[in-house]
Amino acid sequence: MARRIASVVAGVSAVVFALSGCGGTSSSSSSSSDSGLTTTDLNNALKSKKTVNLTMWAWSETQYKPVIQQFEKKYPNIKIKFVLSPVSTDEYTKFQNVVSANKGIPDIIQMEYDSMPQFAVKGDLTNFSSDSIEKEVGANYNTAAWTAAHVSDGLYGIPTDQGPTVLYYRNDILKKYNLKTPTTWKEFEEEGIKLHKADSSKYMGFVDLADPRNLTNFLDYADSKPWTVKDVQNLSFDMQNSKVKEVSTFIQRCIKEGVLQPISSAGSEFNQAMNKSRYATYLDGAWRGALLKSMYPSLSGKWKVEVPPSWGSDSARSSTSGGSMLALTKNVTSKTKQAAAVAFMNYISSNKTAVNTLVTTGGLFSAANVYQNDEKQAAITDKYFGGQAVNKVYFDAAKIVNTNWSVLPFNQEFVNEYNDIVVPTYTSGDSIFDAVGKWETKLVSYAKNQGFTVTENK
Amino acid sequence: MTDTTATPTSASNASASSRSLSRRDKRNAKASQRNYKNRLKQEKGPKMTRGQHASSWALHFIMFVMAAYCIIPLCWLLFSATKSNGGLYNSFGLWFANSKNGGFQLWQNLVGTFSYSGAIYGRWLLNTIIYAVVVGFGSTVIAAFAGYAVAVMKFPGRKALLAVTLAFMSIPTTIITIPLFLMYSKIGLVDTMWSVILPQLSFPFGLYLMIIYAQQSIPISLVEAAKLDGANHWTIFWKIALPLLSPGFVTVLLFSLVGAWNNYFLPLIMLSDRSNYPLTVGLNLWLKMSGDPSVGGGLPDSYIITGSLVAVVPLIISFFFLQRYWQSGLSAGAVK
Repeated sequence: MARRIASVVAGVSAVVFALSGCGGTSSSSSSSSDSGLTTTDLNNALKSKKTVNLTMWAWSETQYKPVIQQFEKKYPNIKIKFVLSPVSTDEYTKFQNVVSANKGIPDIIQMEYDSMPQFAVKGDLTNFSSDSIEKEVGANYNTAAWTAAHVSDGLYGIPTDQGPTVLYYRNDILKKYNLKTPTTWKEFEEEGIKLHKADSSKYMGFVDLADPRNLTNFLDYADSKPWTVKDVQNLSFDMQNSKVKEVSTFIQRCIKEGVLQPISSAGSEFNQAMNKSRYATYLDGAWRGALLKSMYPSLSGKWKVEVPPSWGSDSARSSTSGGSMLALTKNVTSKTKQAAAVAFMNYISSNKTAVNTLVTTGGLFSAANVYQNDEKQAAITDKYFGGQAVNKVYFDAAKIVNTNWSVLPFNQEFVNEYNDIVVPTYTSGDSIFDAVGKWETKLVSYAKNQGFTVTENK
Repeated sequence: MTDTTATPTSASNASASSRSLSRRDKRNAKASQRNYKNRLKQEKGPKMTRGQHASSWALHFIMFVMAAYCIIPLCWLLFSATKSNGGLYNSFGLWFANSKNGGFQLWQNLVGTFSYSGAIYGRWLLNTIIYAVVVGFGSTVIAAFAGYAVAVMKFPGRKALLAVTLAFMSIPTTIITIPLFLMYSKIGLVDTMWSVILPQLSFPFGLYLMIIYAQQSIPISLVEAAKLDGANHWTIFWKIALPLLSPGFVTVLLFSLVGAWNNYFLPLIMLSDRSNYPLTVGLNLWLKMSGDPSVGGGLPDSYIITGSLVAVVPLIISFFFLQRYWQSGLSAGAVK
């Protein structure tokens, strides 16, 4: 009962979101991307004797609490008030509310990469981009993660963790049926056909009906660029291009051939199927490994990891699934406060000790280079994955995440329309490509209603 | 229905000490019961036609399907709460897990649920009880006051009041939650327990039910007689009206209790501090935590399921005990 109310309510709050969205777009269109904040300001903020108080909303409590302590010990003039927020969308609803009330707005807020742009375009976040920050602070982080903390030229936060996608595969199943680990998507399909022929209860993989990233990841692997966020006001859509068509027909064909099975990962049927080894692969963010371990302990030793297969003759690309950043809100207006906040976010996301704490306390996949270039970390082997050095694969995947990708600044609408229009075609057998076309029409009209300038490539 | 001749005369034989006597007594009792049953059969009235038979069967079948539809998820919850995290995904949903899959783990799950993350679950349970009890009694008493006032006192706008209440019933509370948040934020009540309790004290449905019920069940003459004897409204309400209103009172109380117990959106919007959460919001938080390693991870699904079971038990118990009032109250509201 409570759930049903909740889903109705999600719709209602989406409307409220939409209403409040109209007013904001014009006010935030600062076209010059230079905020004037420099790395010298950041260093001065750390050394200053004046006390600065900052409020931070985040849900990753076990990870952030200890690193905040480390930071405050080293720089006692910057005091952080940590507020444990509800997770993900619930936090965004809360944030939206305090912004509307214009009271109780935090200074720093944890956000997922998918959701940050919708707040950035409304002017709820502060852009602190400048040449020196882009160059010197940006050098601390994985390129794809750093790009994802932007909306076009504007920088709205510091990437903490990221989710480069990898191919988890069941080594035992592939061996049993004499199949090779797919390195291209064509091989993935061919081996999948063989597998399903040999045992019709088995599939190479699945299409997750509960996760829109399933399709966007594929569009990303093929570098199809279905939409582009040019700046906070200008969007372009190109969702019927030849690459999108290739991807849609590929997925459609794989479902028909029994290579991919459409299923919702949120149901208990899925967990039963995983335990019964129905699927030979699992494509997801690098954080999935920890969950595989805790959810399917009986499958220990059977899994392995590889970077995702490559599309056509392209070199392999990885995509993004999940991961979060710390964003700077519009509440922070004074330069000294901005400098202190950015210095703090940068410290806990890239300082070596802090990153180690983030990684060890909660298994976050840090976006910092000190972590991703650490050879000791890369050498760690994992028994669950048959003694493979999994971090090495994750780091490799993080390096090849496609940076030629942008997130539309209305994620909730994006997901809702996808669920309504595209998801049913996975099971009904109707053309996925046509559905993507309808999806585009909806997104375009929504974007126009929100006041964006939209260009369509047709 | 009770037939005095059919009931065995066991009272007069109770003192008899002889064994044979008591045996005969039993036989007698059995015979008389058979008699009674037979008579019941005969008294069933005219036989049903074939068409009536068929529709009766069809109705029973439909009711059975609907009952199963409601009960099966509850059974699933009951069985699942006894399983270990691994057993959840390796065993059939509507039966216990065998020992290979972890076996019977209800106790371990309960201990785990109540001790996880600094024993926050117990706190949520306590909060829920506080919210439900305060809101339940508070809103019902207010509704009873209003019902009494409309039924007994004469003041301009009585009918308009009824119409306004009816109109408010048709507004989903979710719509006004965000405006409420903005108001509460201004006066600094956000993130306190009051922000969950105060808005729920106005309960238009209960108010409407109470007004209708009071109009029907409080005789004006009784009130007037009390007035003549020198009683004021306060005394009349507690001494005379409330006892008359009690079936309606219990009905509204139950509706209000259940509503407050299950309320999700209002506390979600109003509260930030997790130690103020009720179970609905807390369990939803756990649900998100279990699938997301960035939240801390390591929360077994079995705790969420056990937590959900514990959350519905008090409601089920209250239903079993107060069902009678609930039904009579429902029909009372419907007759108008």
